[in-house]
Amino acid sequence: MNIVFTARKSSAVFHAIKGNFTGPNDLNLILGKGTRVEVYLIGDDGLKMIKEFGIYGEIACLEPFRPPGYNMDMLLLTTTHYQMLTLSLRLSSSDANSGEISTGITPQFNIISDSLIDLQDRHARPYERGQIVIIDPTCSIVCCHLYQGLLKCIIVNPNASSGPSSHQQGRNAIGHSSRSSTKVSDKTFVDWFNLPIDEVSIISMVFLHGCQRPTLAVLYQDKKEIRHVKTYEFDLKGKEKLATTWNQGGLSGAATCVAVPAPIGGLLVVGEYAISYFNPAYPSETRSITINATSMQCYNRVDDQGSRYLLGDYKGKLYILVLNLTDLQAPSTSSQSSRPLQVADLRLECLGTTSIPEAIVYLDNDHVFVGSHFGDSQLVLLHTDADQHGEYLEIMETFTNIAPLTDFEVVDLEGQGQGQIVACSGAFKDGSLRIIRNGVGINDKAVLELPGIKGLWSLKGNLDAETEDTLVMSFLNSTRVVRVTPDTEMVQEDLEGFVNDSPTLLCGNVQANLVLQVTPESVRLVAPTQHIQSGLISEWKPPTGQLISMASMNGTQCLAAVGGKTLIYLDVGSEAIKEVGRTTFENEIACIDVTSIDATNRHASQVCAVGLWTDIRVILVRLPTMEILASYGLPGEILPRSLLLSRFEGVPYLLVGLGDGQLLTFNLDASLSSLPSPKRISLGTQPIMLRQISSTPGGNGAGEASSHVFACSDRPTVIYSSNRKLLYSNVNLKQVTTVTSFNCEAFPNALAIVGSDEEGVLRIGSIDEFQELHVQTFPINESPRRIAYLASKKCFGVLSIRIVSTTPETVGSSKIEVCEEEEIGFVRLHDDQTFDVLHTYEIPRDEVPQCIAVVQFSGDPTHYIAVGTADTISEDIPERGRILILEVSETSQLKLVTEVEVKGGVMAIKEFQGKLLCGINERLCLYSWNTAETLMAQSNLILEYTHRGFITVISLAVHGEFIVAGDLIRSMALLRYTDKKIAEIARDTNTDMLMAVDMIDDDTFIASDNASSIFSMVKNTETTSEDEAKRLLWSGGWHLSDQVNQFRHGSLVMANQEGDAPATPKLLFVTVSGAIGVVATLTKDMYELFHHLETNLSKVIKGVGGLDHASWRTFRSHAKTLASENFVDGDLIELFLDLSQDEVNHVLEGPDGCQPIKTPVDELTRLVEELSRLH
Amino acid sequence: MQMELGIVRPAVFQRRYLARRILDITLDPSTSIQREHVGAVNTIDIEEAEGRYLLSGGGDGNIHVYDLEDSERKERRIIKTASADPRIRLCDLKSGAFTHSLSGHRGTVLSVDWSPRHEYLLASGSTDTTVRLWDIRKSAACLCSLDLHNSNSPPLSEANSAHTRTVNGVMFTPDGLHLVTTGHDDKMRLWDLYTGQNTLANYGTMIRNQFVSNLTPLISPMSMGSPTFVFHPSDDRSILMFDLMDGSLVKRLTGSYGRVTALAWRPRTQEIYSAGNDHDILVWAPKSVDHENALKAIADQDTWSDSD
Repeated sequence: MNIVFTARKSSAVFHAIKGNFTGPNDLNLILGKGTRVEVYLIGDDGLKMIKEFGIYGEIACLEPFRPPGYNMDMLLLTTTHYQMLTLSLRLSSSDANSGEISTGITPQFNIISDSLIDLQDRHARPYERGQIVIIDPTCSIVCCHLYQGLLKCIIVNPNASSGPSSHQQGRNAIGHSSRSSTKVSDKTFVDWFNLPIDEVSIISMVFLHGCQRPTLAVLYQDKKEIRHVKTYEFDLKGKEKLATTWNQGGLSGAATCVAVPAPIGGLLVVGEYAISYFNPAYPSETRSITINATSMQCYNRVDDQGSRYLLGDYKGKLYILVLNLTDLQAPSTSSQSSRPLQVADLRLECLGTTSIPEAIVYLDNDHVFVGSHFGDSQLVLLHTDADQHGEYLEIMETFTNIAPLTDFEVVDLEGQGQGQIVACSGAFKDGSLRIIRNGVGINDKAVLELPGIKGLWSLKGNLDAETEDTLVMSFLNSTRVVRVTPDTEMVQEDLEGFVNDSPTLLCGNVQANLVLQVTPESVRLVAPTQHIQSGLISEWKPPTGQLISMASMNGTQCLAAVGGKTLIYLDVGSEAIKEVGRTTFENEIACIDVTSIDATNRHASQVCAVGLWTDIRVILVRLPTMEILASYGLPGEILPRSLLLSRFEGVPYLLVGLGDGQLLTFNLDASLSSLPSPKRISLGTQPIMLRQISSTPGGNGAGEASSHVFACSDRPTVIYSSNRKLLYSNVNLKQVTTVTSFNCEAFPNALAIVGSDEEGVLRIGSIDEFQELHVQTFPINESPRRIAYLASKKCFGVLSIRIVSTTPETVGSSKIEVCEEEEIGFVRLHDDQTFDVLHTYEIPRDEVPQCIAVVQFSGDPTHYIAVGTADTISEDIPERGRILILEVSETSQLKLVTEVEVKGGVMAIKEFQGKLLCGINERLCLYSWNTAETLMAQSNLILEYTHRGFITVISLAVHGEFIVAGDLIRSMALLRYTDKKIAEIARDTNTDMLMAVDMIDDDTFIASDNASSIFSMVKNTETTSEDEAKRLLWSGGWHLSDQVNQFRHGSLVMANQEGDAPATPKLLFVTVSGAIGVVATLTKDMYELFHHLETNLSKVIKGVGGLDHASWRTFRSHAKTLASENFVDGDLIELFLDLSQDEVNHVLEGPDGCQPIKTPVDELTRLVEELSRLH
Repeated sequence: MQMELGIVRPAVFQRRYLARRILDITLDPSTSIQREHVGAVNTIDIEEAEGRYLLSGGGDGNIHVYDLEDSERKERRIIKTASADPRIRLCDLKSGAFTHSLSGHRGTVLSVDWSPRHEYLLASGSTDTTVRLWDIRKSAACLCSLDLHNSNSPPLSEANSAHTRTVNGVMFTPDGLHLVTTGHDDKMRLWDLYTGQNTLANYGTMIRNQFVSNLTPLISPMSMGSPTFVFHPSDDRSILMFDLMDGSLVKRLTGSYGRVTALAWRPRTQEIYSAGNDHDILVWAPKSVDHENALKAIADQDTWSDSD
């Protein structure tokens, strides 16, 4: 019984479209990433994500769609399970009044489901080249090619309502009620019909522009594999299509049709060797150019007139295709035609190199978005002039994409007890190794050992300055002031009027270019050196005998706790400090904060927060009246140690750090009259100290410096907000006592951090981009395939493949270049810290490396790297291969120790009981190691046992004496090694094509198949029948909508200390679209509870467009369909934490005939919160 | 590898992979089925649920069940009955009673098959040279009699004949869109069931088919983009492998010492089982690169052979 979470969402861009989705004048970019849609607003300052939502299904096609009469676009998408839905985006009602989106607050958009059509056809055969969905230029018909030889045509209502319709709105788009029927019953679509089509192998389809009736151009391949284009005209009334006489054959290598808009009309056919322009209405006007052999992946039209197109090829080259037009209305040619324009010539120019594109969108003002599957997606600016490299483009922004992940290792490189993923990511020229870990990295710029440092504040030149240049450091009995010069020198300064022989409690800039210093004895207003009247300006002292224990300030106010229980409110003017209010509490003050959360005035607050000892409560106090606004008693006996009032994305919060490492977050309302019940999250085990920082992540100055909160503790964490949700990122540092922003000239966007782990260290460093999972990239510019960690030598062995082009040869007199491409495999040794290549072992050209493992043979202490190769990389069945045993020398050189040639490709390799287990085509071979230097035997590897009975072994997992082998056709088998023999003890009797297998424990095995599902099997231990014991029992299956490439044991979070977590994380997996997932096991009770919660949640949180969660997660293989069983969707469960109180109650009561959940809300919330901490 | 990168759709990969394996099919030297029948093996079939058990019926009056996973064999003795009645009888498997009789054929019905697409559609081939399609729901059940010349005669015309001599094999394609028939005129024909017309696919002159017994061709699982193959047992002790659509001979599988009487397909391992009148059941499997080793292993079961 398992629960599956997504630790990192898929990042590969498969679809990208442009349109006016959020408003008639908004230009939006919409990305389709597997099962998710991201909506960006294109503004002056770049792309801004405004909405992200998941689809209960995998997106097959995504198109902009504007029915007649609408002034905005809708999203039309189909899923791989043949559901078609249309969605529109509208400002949520609460934000609708504010109108302009340009205000700092991120507007909230609702998704409005417009229609859902089930296009599934049980009898038709799915079209294996993938779905094609096209919309005709007048938006009267949508034509879908989903099944072989069948077009599904959906007629759009020509009288669809103008403007936004009055469909139901809901938090997550309440579904359409009439979804079960295949009849189209809404306003957007009026009817649909099936049309058989003779062409069974359609490559591309497009609707032509400027035709009387919808005209479809079809690029297809005939039985002799010759490609043709022909056109059909649609008769919408008669629901027929009529073939036209125009037909163009012999288009070798043609891959894509592109419609040219009116008034030019016609179509472009883009092939591997040529680009041609055809106009069926004027067959004589065919134009064609030959191009260097390449394969264009995607295209996008630049201008509405249709004379320029962007094309991207499989190597990441970006081209522009220009149609040179002649004006037929010019006097000389006017007699020929009534058309104004005619294509005279085609011209293709290479603009430069981008990531390998999957989708290209021309945004606006020469900006192009390049969506990629194999590398990072990019925002590219086109220039009219070439730069020094001859490129016409400049990469403005990159969007991290780690897809496709082919293999990974879970390692703990920093010895912190927290796993990190080192993954093979990307492919071809965009290949890279990526370190993926929880938390944010700090790039150290300067490290100073300062024993005994207690406090740290930074000072700016004046209150509104952007950069800080001075650090104030407090020690046990003294205070030091250090200025950092632009050339990174640190100069100790003596500020006149500053107290240096006493510790400092607080220091900061206040208005009028002054500085406030709070020591236990006094509050001092000091003018810095460059000020006209430098020195002490004003001083406030507490009553004699009493000391200031605590203080908080903003630009104009200061609060000080005096004598334990008294809170004094001081107004900090430009000339004097005045006491304005004072109040005494019954209990001692534990912490105070007066940070302004007023949107209009950053430097003065009308409220302060106080935490108290003894009765342990948090109160809000109005300033300057000192009346108590609200109070909240904390349950338990843990003291609040730090408070912070903060605004995230315009929403005010009160954060409370407790003594045991827990953090409470209160979502404040505008009136501040009450404290709602808080959310609780455990960040560490030591007291939390909260500090506001204003560092811009990533160091790019593009975005505004949004506020972040740094929680100093034994597990330092950055708190930030995205989509109005608080997010927590671990910082990859050990103990941190205090932190301050230090954006100085020498270290832009830096933080100054005091760590107490090594007797007080001050480090100045910049902070990496905030993400839940932090990704570091090491480009290798070739396709990484497999990775193995050699801990004893602190290095990674990586198998990679590089495609090498031979020098281009010019053929004939034309400028066409022909080059051969060759794949070369390498075994590369990478350092585990710098990831530099230490050494490379090249595999001969006719071999391809397939698998790698670190192996230690019994009787030999050396750790070897074992590599399996095959003679083919394509789908041919390999006929021979080799097993290579490489040794890593002291100087980190790879040395071939021995090799064995085998018949068949070595597809999987594993260390097994001090021996080497290999999957070679249809058999498993066990090799033992002969250390004796015999002259006779050429190889040190001795074949010990061969077990047959597979078709192709593709994946192996071993534990103890058990082996699980995954087969390419025949699912999995469990084998056991006893008495020097491998014997099959049980097998899954189904036919299923596997991608990866692993063992959850000795009796439970998990596998991913090629239908994007994962399933688990158990050993049948209960039966006494020998026959039944030989079958693995089905224990559960689940549809993931993404293809898992590899499972590995490990976890991305710290080993759980408490041990009472509801689930145990077991495995991590990586997918083709770049997602990282976690599989955790549940006990039976927990499974039942969470499964129940999942069922009820799926009724309350409706799928976008009315898609059903349960039917999406249904296990489907090519042979069977089974309801999802023994798997729980952790991502859905986690949404429970975001529900409003009403929705929570609705879930618990059991909506739509579901059983009510009896577990109390608090208990359930705690369990779900603990679950969400597992990744 | 291309699949790992998401370039090739897994389904496409699997289809190509399987198609390539079918082309590689030869007599499997490493697997053999113990000879149990003392007479000719007339019919074999593999159960569909697990693909594990093989049923064989022999001229000796025995039916044997083989477990293809293990080499053990379970035996049951049942007397087989044959019918020489020109009517087709439908048996209800629950009650065991005859529920229907379909009349129309004027000779012995040698072969019937159910459509995989329409559960009420039945095709039959008879010694009267006709192939008839039946809708068992109707009282006038016969839908049409297929005509080899595609003449425009009425569908039930007495003049229609599907072969020039006895028809002893009918088989629907897995998608139910076509019907394959074979007859004593040594011809195999492919019929388009949408139109009821002979597609005129020419399977050449290699077929030998003269024995008055059911002889059903075997059709490999269909998938788009790769050719579908039809395996036809021929009286010259071979199995002929044709491309279903264009009729070209792809391969001739030889190795049987007797006339091949029946074929069965095992989808899990892509093996073909053939029954012969030499009392043997043979296994045909995609060629493995490890053939020599396998042979060696058989020859030398107890000592481990090394591929070096």
